[in-house]
Amino acid sequence: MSAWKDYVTAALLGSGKSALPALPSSLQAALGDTETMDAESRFLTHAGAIALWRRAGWKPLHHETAVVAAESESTAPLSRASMGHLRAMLAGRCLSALPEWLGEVARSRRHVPPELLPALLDRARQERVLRSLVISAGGQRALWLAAQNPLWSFGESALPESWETGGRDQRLAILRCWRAETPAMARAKVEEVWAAEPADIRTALVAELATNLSEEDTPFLERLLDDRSKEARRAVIDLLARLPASPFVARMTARVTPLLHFTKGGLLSRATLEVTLPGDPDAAATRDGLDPKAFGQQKILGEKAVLLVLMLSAVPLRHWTEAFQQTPEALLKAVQKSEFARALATGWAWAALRQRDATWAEALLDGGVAPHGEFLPAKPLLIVLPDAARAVRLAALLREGALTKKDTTRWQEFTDLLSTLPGHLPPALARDLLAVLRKECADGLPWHLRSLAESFLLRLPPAMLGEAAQGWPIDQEGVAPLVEILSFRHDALTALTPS
Amino acid sequence: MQILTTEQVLALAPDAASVKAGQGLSNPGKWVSLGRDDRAVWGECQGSGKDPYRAQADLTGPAFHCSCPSRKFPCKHGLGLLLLLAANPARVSETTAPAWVTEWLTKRQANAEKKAAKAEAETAPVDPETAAKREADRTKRAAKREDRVRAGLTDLETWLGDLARQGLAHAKQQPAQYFDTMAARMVDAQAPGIARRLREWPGVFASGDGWADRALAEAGTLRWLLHGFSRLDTLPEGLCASVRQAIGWTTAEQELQGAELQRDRWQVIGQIVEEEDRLRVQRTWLIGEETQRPALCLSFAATNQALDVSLLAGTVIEASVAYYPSGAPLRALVRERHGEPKPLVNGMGCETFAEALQGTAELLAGDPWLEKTPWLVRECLPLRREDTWWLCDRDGAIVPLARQFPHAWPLLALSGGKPVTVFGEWDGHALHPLSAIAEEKFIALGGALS
Repeated sequence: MSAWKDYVTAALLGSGKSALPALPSSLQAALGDTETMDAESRFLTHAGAIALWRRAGWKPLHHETAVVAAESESTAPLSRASMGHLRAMLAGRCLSALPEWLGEVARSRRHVPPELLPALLDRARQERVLRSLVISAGGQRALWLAAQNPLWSFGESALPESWETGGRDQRLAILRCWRAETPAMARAKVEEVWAAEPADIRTALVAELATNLSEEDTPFLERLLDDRSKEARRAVIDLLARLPASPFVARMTARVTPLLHFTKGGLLSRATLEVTLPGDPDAAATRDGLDPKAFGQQKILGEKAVLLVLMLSAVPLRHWTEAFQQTPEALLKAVQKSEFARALATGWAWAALRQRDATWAEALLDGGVAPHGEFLPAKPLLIVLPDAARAVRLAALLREGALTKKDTTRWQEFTDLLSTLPGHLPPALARDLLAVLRKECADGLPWHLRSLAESFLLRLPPAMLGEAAQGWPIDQEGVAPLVEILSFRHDALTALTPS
Repeated sequence: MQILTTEQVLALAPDAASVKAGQGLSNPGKWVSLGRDDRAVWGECQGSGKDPYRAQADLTGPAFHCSCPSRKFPCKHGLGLLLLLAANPARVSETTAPAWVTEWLTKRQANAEKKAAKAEAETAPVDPETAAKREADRTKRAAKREDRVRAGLTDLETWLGDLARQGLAHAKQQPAQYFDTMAARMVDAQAPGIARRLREWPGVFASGDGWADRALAEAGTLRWLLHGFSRLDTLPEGLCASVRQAIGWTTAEQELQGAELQRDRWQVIGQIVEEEDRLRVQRTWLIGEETQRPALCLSFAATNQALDVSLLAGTVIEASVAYYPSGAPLRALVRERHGEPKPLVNGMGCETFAEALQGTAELLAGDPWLEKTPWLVRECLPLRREDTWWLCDRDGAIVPLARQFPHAWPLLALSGGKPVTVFGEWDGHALHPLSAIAEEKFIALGGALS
């Protein structure tokens, strides 16, 4: 409407600077005579009338696009009680129980209410572990909604085009997909970009090849031993060491075999394993990662012992049992008196981790020779054992008193071990753990142990919760929040159980 | 007994911190005792003191009482109690109310009766002499206020005239003080309605594209308010009331004594609380199922005071309401309730935005100073285009959603690409949704979602 535009233009400059713009005729009739007013009043009166006229006659725009609707849900909505639990968690109460609860929602064939999906998806942006859980507990609506907001696509639906242009996480996600589906193609893609990537990206890319690792990767990995970056070379060696038929493993085996001599025990003498320390590494050995300073500045292992550890870590454990015709237990017993006992155990433990060798792991755990844990990759040896065997060992640790509130370090170590068991704890271990925790809480729990205790309680099997929530010294320091977790989990999971 | 849903209880919380604290207390383990009967729910909660706090809620209100020293209302104990009841009714067993509960309920009953009696006494006939004196006092006070307003509005007229002459581009360069001073002058002149509008001017000038259109529209609207005031004696009764209300005269509840009552099943369709000059203002929108008439109930509270919590979004109440006088009556007072609130299910509303705009035009015809008009439109589809949110009706007409509407994504999630019923406030430029009905489920969007 041009009359209004004329008035706005005039108003910007000031009503005195131009003539009074014309009024639309229909308004003129309605307003009647305004000439008796002073100029400014008349201007504003006219403008106010047009403004009201425009407001009353506001017309919407039009839009023509078909919107694709979400598929309808095949699962049931949450009960009112469960909605209350979800709101409570989103408001910050027992938030740590959310992953388990979301999993249970999906398992019980229900879906969370759509209006809370944005809050959940936002949370999943920060907490990776929630991503697939939110999508599966959110039903069809969550899939539909996540597709509407690039921030919620989480790289899972990342288009292959992003391989060249995407950010680091996005590119790694794409590579992970490729490697899972077509390992050779994924390797070729890495090979293609290798020379142009910075060291940290090269390291991350090669680490992704651990999925579906096979002999076919050997030639490429062998070439990478000449890479400029020490970090990238380490990642390469870690992969090569897991390929028993690789030339790298053969070279390492050839280097270390002459250094160990096994002598069978007799009637009066014990079996022994004697060690000759390796010489200084030549160029070929250096290329294979044999670096006497590999563990940095440290006074635990001598430089030659470091080389020994590195060699052992890359040799198939089968080689020793076959060469000496001895069980792992016998070999470990034979080295007990050796001054290099712990270096040997460290090398073998590393190899057991790489080769996921449960027999050797059991032997090392019981062998009476402790590996130098600080030089091993983060995961403890227990990870190699089957779940049941691991649970048994954890229960034994508990009985030995691994969990006392006076010793925070041991408590932390135990938590790490516990975290190697997937899902809910086995009932027997859970019961033992609960008994110890109750005892430790009798006169209160220091605040710094609360999150560790919480992480145990989050993993008690649901069937135990009702009973577990009873009989705590609730008035003692730090105990009420623990009981809160137990009773909240009990209520929230029970509400999801089909009655 | 009416058990409130979690959503309804959360709508009662005075702030986000209370929501969190209330959630923390919705765990039965925090309560030493819990109980309920057909009217009330109560519990004792161990706090930091020696004796547990005694919290109770009268579910017919709902009304709250607690022995804790919190100045928030309702306090976290009251909220926790109702949240617990909503999520886990089985954990609160029905029993006989202890003395500390019945005492409070009896006192509430007595107060309500006393208030009714007092109201009756004020309207009761008095001897002619007293009546004449009261009337004379009232007239004198009213005349004095009118004089003050008149003087203030004369200043405003001059100020607006200067603004028009010097131009909006000039005004845009003025510091906020330029408007604040005039707003303060309006407060002195007992014209708080105008003061409130003036305080929003700096925001209008800074509002980006189209600011000059909005500023001129607002200046023109104020100019018309001045016209209205100068002709108060000749205006029809309703329009006269609208002018007085826009300037800032309030109508006392007693003055509604004789007003005609409108009885209906009222859907409590939307609720929002906003901060306004250190005052919390709660707007609750009702729509009559029979008459389709909207009604707006206001509640005001200074910090640490309680807002009225008796109207819960998502419920339907059978009630009689009295409308405040206006050229386009919207503001109303719930006078009498008949029976318990029931959950809101049925979707009424306009079919198209054209229809809703027609309703707005009719309301503006009665009261040109109305700032927000209620829209209830069925089959709306939320859309996002170029980072702006829109609502699309069945005819493909689109209106923008208010930029400050915080729940656009949840609204989109609710729709799932299928049309939903939306209730909101239309301010002439954009719609601010306050609730939606999707798949026969009512979702309040006026406050926090979780």
